[in-house]
Amino acid sequence: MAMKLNRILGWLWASAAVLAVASSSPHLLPAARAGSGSQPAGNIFAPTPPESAASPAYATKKRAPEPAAMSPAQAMMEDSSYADQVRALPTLAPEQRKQLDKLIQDERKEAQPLAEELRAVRDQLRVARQTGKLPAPNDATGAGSPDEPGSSRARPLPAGAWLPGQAPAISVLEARAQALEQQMSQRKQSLWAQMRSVLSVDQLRDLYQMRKGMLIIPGVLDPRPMPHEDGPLSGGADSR
Amino acid sequence: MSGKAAENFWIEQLLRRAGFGCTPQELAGYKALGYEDAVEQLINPQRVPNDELGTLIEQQDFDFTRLDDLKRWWLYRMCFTRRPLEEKMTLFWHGHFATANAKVGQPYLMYMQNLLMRKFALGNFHDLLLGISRDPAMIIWLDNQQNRKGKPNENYAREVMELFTVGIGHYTEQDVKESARAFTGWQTRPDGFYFNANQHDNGEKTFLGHTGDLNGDDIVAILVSQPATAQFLARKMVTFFVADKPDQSMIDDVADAYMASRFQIRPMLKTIFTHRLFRSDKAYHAKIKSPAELVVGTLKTLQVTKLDADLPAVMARMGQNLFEPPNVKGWDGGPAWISTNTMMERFNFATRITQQKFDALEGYFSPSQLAANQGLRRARDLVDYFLALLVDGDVPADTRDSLIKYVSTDFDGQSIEAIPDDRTLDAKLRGLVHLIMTLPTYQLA
Repeated sequence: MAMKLNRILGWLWASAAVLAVASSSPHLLPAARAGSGSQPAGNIFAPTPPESAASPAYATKKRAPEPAAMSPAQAMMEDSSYADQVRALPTLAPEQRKQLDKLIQDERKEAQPLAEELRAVRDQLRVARQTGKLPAPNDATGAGSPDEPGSSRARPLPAGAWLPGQAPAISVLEARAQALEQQMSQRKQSLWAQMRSVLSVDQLRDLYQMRKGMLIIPGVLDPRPMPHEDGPLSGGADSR
Repeated sequence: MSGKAAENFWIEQLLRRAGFGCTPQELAGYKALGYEDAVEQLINPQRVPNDELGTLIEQQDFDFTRLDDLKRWWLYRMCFTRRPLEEKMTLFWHGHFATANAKVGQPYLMYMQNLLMRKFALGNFHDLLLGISRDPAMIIWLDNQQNRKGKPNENYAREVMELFTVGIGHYTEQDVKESARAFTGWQTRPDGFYFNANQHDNGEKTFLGHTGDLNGDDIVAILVSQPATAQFLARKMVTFFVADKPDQSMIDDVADAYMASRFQIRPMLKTIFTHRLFRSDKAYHAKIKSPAELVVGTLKTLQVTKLDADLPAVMARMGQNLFEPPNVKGWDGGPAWISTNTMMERFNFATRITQQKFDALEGYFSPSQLAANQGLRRARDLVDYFLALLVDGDVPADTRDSLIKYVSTDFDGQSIEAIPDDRTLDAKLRGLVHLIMTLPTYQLA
């Protein structure tokens, strides 16, 4: 290990020496040299797109606080993105769990064609944006077909078979993706409304408390032997 | 070096190891305490008020059911806690009891596990291991949910010995089988740990020489009392805190502290930080910084208080993805932190932290402000100040000379005695700090 460490350190010294020389060049450190507040376009050090999305404007990430007038339960009702977390609620009764599972499974089944089409459109968009060309549809969605953009009708075309002038504009695909996203979002809202009807107000409050990190799952932070309805733990070490 | 200067020197190392580095203000506070009292304060976090951290976190409005928020929450804790060792030990236990959300699939359970590790971070190892054995995330992670009477699943039973306590070579395959039987019925459900008596094997078992109707509690009690556990934990802690290649005599001393205190973690830490070897060449700059140490340490040292939302992703690209350790063994650490890929990420981070500038500068790195606070303007003084701040001044003379040359050369290549204007000062200092952060020494804790 010592040899590896030495090798690494040697390599590091070499890298640093190169950087030291390079950094003293007037051609490096453009932002510093220019004294400007902007980052150079195409900066390889900028975060990748998903990360940029996670940190709008890098610095301004500030989630809007809960409106003070809204009760925790109401706040949850306004938000449809926590459906999966509902299943983790400690106070769910078995019957409620069954109902929720059925709702989630039914929704997944019904939304599957929509989700697949959206995925296909996004794939096409990604390729189109990267290459500047629209790819030929390679699945059965037919999304981006010339006469019916975004149609789910299958259109068997060989690879690269778009004819000049026939490929839809990227904006058409974007519009289709947006429409699909909207439909998915509406479905989520609808699912959440149905799930909400299964939960009590107390359970909605518990869910809100989970989001805030305030719901302590019994026993997790108190690992002493606990009596339990199905039988107490036996023996074991003393608790210190 | 005078006695006081030497003490201050080791306090800086102490804060790099027992914490994640420090701001100049924090450093001044610990130096005022002196080394021994600084250690006492670090190993007794319960004595240090930490209310400001709570307020700060509340303002961020984290959602603890979301993994990305959970990672950011922990990063905030590492950066702004006044109890650095508590956070560092939580990170240590996260690597020791490595559990990944990729399998658990419930960030809230990962959050609860994190709270558990923090609660017992410096407490009694028995309590911690018992808590971990009943932790819902761990039960899912190591499949104890499927460990049933007549059909034992040995996953947790094996790892609790191999990775959490005695280590390989101190148990037999029969011990694994018997231990698995003892943990049958230890399950989880949404309301927490659940002892399923119907699935528990009440038969007689023999484990590490103990025979009886043993259950999980008994296995935990037997394991924590093994001298091999003392050695295993001590080795891991000394490696984590002192040197990537630990000294056996120090491991023995730390293991003795564990046994003498009946499995307390705090005395082990005290033994480490007050050990003569901790304040010796064997420990100084003998560890490669983990991504958490590098990122958090940089933010603290450069007094960056705005934490970009993607910083956990930056750490992940350096090889340390919080709440997603690579496997059951956790992060290997040491030289494994360094590869061509991860070094590039470290250098990218150096560039980003020194070059990023926005309309609103507050909360970001402001080198000219740091220099102004010190009343510095001459190239030599600036280089020495930032070398001391970032790498303890631990660089070869020719490196220092190169840095001075860089700072004392203007944009036209002309030599300058002192920085003529604020714009040049800002540009030069950003370049200087970037260069220092890409030095080998900066990768060392």
